[in-house]
Amino acid sequence: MKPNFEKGGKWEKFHTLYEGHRTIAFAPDLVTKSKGAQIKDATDLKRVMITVVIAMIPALLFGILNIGHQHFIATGGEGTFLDKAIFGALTVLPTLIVSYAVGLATEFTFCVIRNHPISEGYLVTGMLIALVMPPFIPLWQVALATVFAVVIGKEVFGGTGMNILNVAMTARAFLYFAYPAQISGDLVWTYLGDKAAVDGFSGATALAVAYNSSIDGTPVVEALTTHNAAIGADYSFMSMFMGWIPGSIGETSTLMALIGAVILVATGVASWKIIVGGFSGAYAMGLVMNALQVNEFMAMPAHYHLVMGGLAFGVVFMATDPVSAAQTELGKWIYGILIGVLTVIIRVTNPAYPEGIMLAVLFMNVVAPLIDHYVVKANKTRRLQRATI
Amino acid sequence: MDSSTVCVVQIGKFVLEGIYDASKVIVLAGSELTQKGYVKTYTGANVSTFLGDSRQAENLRIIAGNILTGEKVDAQGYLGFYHNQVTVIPEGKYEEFLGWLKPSATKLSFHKAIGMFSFLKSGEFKVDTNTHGEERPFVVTGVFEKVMPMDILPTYLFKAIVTEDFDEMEELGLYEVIEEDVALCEFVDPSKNELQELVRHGIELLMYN
Repeated sequence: MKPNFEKGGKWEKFHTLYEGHRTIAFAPDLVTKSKGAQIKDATDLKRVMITVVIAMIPALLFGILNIGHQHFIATGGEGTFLDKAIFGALTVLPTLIVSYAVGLATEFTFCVIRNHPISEGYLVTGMLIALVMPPFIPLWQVALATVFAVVIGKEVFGGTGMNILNVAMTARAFLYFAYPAQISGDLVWTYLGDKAAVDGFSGATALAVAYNSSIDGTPVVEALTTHNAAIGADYSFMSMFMGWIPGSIGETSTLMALIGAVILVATGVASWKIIVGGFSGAYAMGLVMNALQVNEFMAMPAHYHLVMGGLAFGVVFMATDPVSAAQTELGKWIYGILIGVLTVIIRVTNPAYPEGIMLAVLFMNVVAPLIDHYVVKANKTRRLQRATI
Repeated sequence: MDSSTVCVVQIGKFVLEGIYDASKVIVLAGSELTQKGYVKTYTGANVSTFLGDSRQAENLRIIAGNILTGEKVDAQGYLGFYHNQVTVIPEGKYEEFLGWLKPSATKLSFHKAIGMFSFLKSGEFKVDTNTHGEERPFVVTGVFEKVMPMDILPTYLFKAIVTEDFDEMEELGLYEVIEEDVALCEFVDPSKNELQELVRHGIELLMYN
């Protein structure tokens, strides 16, 4: 079969596709060249990407369970663990499958047109796009967002390794601005299925509750504990940390994001500086907001910011994407801290964008080369001083 | 090409005393050599003299020099002026089923990605010439800085050479490196780029322009 794909063979045009699929089954038999390092490290980009996918699996599994859990709270039924898991899986798996299928098809098309090998970047992006979608988003919207993100967010710039913006965040931002009705508001974060909601149910996310309480004038913590309490919802700090609140599929659970963070940092795939910087920046800005105390939302204890609104998921999985983040070590600290700070500022001061983390990550992706420029400039200046004594 | 004290001594002796002493002590190393150790021989010796029992073996990579900066020679090849070692390792031309997914404690790796347990094992590893992956664009950041002992930002330097930006190359410190300085970077790179070749290309660009 292989000769058909080589030069002069029948299907020569699809050579990169064949190679891409063959290297999934078999690590290639390439050897080092005659000059240069004669041995190479056993880790390649495929293994790095698979590490990230494995780090996201706790968030995916918990998200599947949580969708079911929120469904049963909203419709008032009693669901066993298995009921919740099956319901969640049936809701989430179509989105996941569409994301991977459409994204990979787009990438394959570009590889055949441009004649460069298929890169493994989409293994991670496919799952990330699915995890930031609300539970029941129309599949055609997922497909459209995926095509937009892969083409405009990545391929236009040259493919994996060349993108400026985080590809999954681009998909979400596209849907947020182009089709806002299915991705914002109070109704989309809990999937009712074909049942009706119980009386008194409001599917508001924790951030929406906090924002409304600042209009009413009640302290946020009190508003969270009483919200939907009658029908069994729990918005306490511990429950939000575990993730039993409505939200996008993968982003509700801070605990699962932290498990992913441990995997990513222990394997050296993601930078701990960005993760620590993100959390500290958000916490510090929360404290600043506490000091200002113009409304109740600002008075919310700073540690609540860390478990609401998918901050943990965004900092651990989106901000740490090595290609779109800052690439110098000092730059990573500044980048991480500014993401945390910006997220809290956007959340608290702007009612139109409860999704602070999405916009903060995209904005910092654009600013990261500027941060790196100044760090590199400092390196160059040091060298010049050494050279001219 | 790597510099070595023996070469300096040879040049110095020739300049000071007028004698070209071509003898030197070299190292025989590598998992496929039965007889390893130190050998006193001449510059430019024929490599087949040292192979011993491995002379007829198939699938070997014979390297003049060490595994990070050496040069492949065939069984009748010769050592160069700068080569102080003969290394013989197996050639890695094989396809491994799910090689990028299977956990392994025997494959040498600087990274600790899922399944790479080589950091737990102490002692020697058997290495071969398999690249363990195809060439990709630069993705992972922060790894080169860990293995570069100088105050240089390697990724930016490599990108400046690829784009042939002369000013950037100079400012980022291309004058301070030769190929062997980035040999470790080339070893640990998960994107399997030819970094030593890149640095040589950059140096030649600056030399001849």
